[in-house]
Amino acid sequence: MLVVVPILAAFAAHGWDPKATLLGESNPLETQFKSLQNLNTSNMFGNMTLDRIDDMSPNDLINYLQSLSLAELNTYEQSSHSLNATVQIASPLDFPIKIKNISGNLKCNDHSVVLASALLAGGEVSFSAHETKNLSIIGTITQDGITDLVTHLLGGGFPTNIGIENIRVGLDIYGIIIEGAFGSV
Amino acid sequence: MKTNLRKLVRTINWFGVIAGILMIVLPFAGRWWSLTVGTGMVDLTTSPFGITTTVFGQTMESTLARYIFLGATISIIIAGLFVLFASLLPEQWWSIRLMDFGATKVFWMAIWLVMAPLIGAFIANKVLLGGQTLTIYIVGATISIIIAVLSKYLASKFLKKWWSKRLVKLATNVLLMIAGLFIVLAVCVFIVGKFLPSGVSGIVPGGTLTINVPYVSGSAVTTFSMSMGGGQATLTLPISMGLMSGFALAIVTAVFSILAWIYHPGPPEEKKKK
Repeated sequence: MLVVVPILAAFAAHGWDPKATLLGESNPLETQFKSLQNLNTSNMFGNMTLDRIDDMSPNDLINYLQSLSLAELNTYEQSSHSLNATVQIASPLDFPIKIKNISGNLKCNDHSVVLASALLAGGEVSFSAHETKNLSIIGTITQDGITDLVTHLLGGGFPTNIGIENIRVGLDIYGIIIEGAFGSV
Repeated sequence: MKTNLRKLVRTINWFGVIAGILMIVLPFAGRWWSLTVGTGMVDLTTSPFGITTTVFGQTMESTLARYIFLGATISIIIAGLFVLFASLLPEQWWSIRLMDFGATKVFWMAIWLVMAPLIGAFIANKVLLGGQTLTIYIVGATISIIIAVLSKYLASKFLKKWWSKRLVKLATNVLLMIAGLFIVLAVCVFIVGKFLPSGVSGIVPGGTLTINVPYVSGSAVTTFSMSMGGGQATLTLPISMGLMSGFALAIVTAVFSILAWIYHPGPPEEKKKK
């Protein structure tokens, strides 16, 4: 009796609805699943902006490059250089998430040139639900990349149409680690 | 007066008094077992008297579970009162019946709380991967049933003391429970063999599932890798389980209640018969 009566009472309390009786009025699993099904990732990644090359701001670098002779410019192009970039990411998720690492190749989409191999700077980045953050990216510029950058800079401009390819991402969602290698954005 | 008091003290089943009190307290002494997936994705703590589940930081409530646990709580409190009364007045004609009703309840609850995650983990780690044969489980069930029936028969023939008969009765019931678990495993192996011939790994084409679930207590990691489009993704799921302080009290209660049951003399006429 102490087994049957509670079961009958529970069903009677919810009008004999099995789902409501078993899972209650709120079901976090169903809520999160529906939210993932309706996920809108179209505005997830903002434009990437190049902040510094070799610790120089874009304008300082333009002035510097314009002061070099042709031979000095060739030497500059053949040596190793680093860059710092910023990309804005808006989390479309209803729950907190941590980005453990991002790496990939930065690409100038205008000239289809791989500018640099880059990775997330400063360690893991945590996002609250629907939070937007600017992520710092550091990279080593490739040989083709520095040539492309110099071409842009001497023209008075800066690459603006920058994408990421061969992306490797490590995510932490409530302790569950997801690591993936994807295409490009 | 002094003689009567001394006689009363000597007749009381003190194991039963302690067991009865512990049984009444047990539902309020905390949870027995916990399960955690990730860090806060799923947090579950449970006992036969209640369950608390949080998923993605939100608490899940089930009316059905709440009412069933309420029924179990009331049942164990009544059982505790029965054991207590039977222990205080062991020579009454009803004492053995109350003791029989209540004494083994906590024992079985503790056994089931250990067996459920143990069997669940075994099914997840071994059976779901496929490739198991039914033979070992059928043989296991058969052997358990044979030993149980043989024990019962031999006990009825040769055992004279009432406490030895009760001990064998308990052992027989444990063996029958083991036989039942073997049958459950055999059914699971049959179902997996029929509907998932290559195990759960074959559900997702191009995916590899490595299930690793701890047995009752401990930590383990389950991984799932799959290729999709031009990329590859790996999901790592840490799972940890553990027994809690409430379970320790349950074990103490079960030990005292079994001792009370075995030791309980019953009314003098019954004692003479035994």
